[in-house]
Amino acid sequence: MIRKNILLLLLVFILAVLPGCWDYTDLDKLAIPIVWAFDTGNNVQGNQESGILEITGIFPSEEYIAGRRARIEVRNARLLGEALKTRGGFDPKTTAIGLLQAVLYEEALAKKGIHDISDALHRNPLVKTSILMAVVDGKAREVLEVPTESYVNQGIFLRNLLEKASQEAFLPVTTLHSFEVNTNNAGRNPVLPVVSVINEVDAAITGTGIFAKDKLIDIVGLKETQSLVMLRGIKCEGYIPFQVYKNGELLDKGTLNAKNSREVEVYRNGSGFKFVVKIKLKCKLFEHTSKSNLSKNTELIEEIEKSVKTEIESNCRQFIQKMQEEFKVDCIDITKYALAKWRKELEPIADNSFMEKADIVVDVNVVISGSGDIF
Amino acid sequence: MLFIITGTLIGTDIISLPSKASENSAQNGWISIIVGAVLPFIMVILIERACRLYPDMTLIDIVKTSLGKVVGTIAAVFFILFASYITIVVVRVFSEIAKLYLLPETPIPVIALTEIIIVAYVTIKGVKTLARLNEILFYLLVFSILMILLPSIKLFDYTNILPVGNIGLLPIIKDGINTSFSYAGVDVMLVFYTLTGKKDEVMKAGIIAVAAVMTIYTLITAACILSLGSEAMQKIMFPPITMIKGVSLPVIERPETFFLTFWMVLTTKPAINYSYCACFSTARLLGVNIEKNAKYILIPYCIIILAGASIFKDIIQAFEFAGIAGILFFIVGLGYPLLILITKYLFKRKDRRID
Repeated sequence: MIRKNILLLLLVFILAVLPGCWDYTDLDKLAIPIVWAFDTGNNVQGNQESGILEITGIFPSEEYIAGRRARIEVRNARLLGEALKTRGGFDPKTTAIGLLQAVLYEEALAKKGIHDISDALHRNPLVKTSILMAVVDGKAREVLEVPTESYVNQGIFLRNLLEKASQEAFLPVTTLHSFEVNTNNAGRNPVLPVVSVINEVDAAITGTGIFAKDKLIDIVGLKETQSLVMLRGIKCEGYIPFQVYKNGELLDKGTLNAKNSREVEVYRNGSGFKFVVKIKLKCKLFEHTSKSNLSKNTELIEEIEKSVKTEIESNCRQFIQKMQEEFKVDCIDITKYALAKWRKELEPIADNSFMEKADIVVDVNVVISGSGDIF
Repeated sequence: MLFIITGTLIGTDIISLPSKASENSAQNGWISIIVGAVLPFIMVILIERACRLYPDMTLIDIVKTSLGKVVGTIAAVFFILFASYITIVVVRVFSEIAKLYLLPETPIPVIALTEIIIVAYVTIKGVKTLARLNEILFYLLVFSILMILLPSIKLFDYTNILPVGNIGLLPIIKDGINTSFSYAGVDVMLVFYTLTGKKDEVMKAGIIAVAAVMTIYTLITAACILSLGSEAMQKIMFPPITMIKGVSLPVIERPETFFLTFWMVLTTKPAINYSYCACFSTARLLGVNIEKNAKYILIPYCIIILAGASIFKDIIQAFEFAGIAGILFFIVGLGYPLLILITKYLFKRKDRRID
């Protein structure tokens, strides 16, 4: 009997300790930032100074504050840890960063490099590496201040926007995990979606940021983003408009709903390398203006496929030329295929002018597999 | 025996192994895991052959018989200290990882104490309870491995693991030697051989156990290389956890928390098994019955383990000491069976049962 009591006491002790006697906290004592925005901050004189971060956090709130169910907090500090330290003197609640969903970077800050910030986030064991990342065209804080009516707060809106972007359009989705993998492995560079404030009342993804490791080098618009995403093999589902001309006359116009995928082959070409990027588009006809019955006019389907193929190939070639002449980094993630064959030889040069000299050929294959409920 | 050996082999190392395995061999790190398994296979054979010569004698009796009373006693004490050292290191690394990911404010000695209580409880219940627990936890191990591998598939990039074998043999062998430390646990066969009823199946059990662990280690390492890349993995302390952190599942937003909950249970197995080896051998050395006098041996033993686990400065020091444990594993795993075999066949000592 005594033995059973001792065992029971021990069991109670274990059950009490392991769930966290020391780690126990009430939920209402936690301040949970769901999105952080990083901008170039101001020094004590109020002047913008590089080396100082302005960190804006959006914290969900039960009450409405300035028309939104969230509190926006701004801190200036040299590093993220310093900003969290200063919070201690202002807010009685403990900062719980384990529920962070997304981080935004000001364009100017991203151009200087975001390694410090991403390292701090990656290093913290409580931060999940599936958090979403984006660059803001302008001040990152302004995106958090845009009001939203459809969602509880702007943080939730941004999280959903960045997470679902590739399911409705040809837009990239980048997590901290993929950013770190692309930054730390040879021959790879990340791309981040670019968010912009539209007319002060809306925030939307308007392009893609091209990075050389952790530094932003350029921003491309939505048209080039489509080419980038297809060339890079980021699996998306989106809409592709088309126009079919025959003998100078408009035969048909409409939209395809397409899913993309990619295959890459790489060959040695003397001392150089040749990449063949095969983009596959599996499409369904979403709409078209021609009244012809597609079951009796399969030629029209072929014409549509050919028209889309030609346009996308042309766009992709233009993008590749821009990538090799202006960006000079591999932003379409094809160097890894060459490294998969000749890693020892190419690893030292994968990040140095390798992509500029490569011969890259694009081949697009469009297949329209359905037209909905009617022909 | 199969479950006891597997249970002892898989512990804290499973989450730090991938970065060790690819330190020199890069994307071929998974090959170095297989290379590292060669020595443990040899150890299984040697230990089984050595114990077969004295099937009804414990390790303590065997070393005293083979090496003489004085040297044998020193060897016995060394084994007890070795088993205790491994237990201390396992408890400390477990506490550090639990503190890092799950219980950041809880003091290390408190986390260590909760594990030691479990270890003590199972040890006091005897070898049958220990064996049953190892068997049940083996199935939990399979489930937790699947839990970490399956969701991570969407992060895999096959180009990360290619090309195969281009790095040359020397870096793979170098990493293979490092990874062979992670098979520490085969040496518990020295103690459990005499306690098992099916002695003719021990060799088979040992080989299957090492092969199963090798498979698990290889799969985890390959998965980490596929999802993180060997270069990025070098700056990550616990690649499997970082890998699973990159996945967000419906409902289970943080799958790594679930995995770590199971892992905390699984890491008690090596501590329990080594602790039993140490206590059983101590009882034998002192000439007392383990079942009747368990608490007199276990209480001071647990205090020593708790004190030892609380000494380390930080996780980095704990890993340094874990490295030393790997070297000791070689000494025990190879040294003891070789000494027993050599003394039996070269010097033809007669069997003397120690009363």
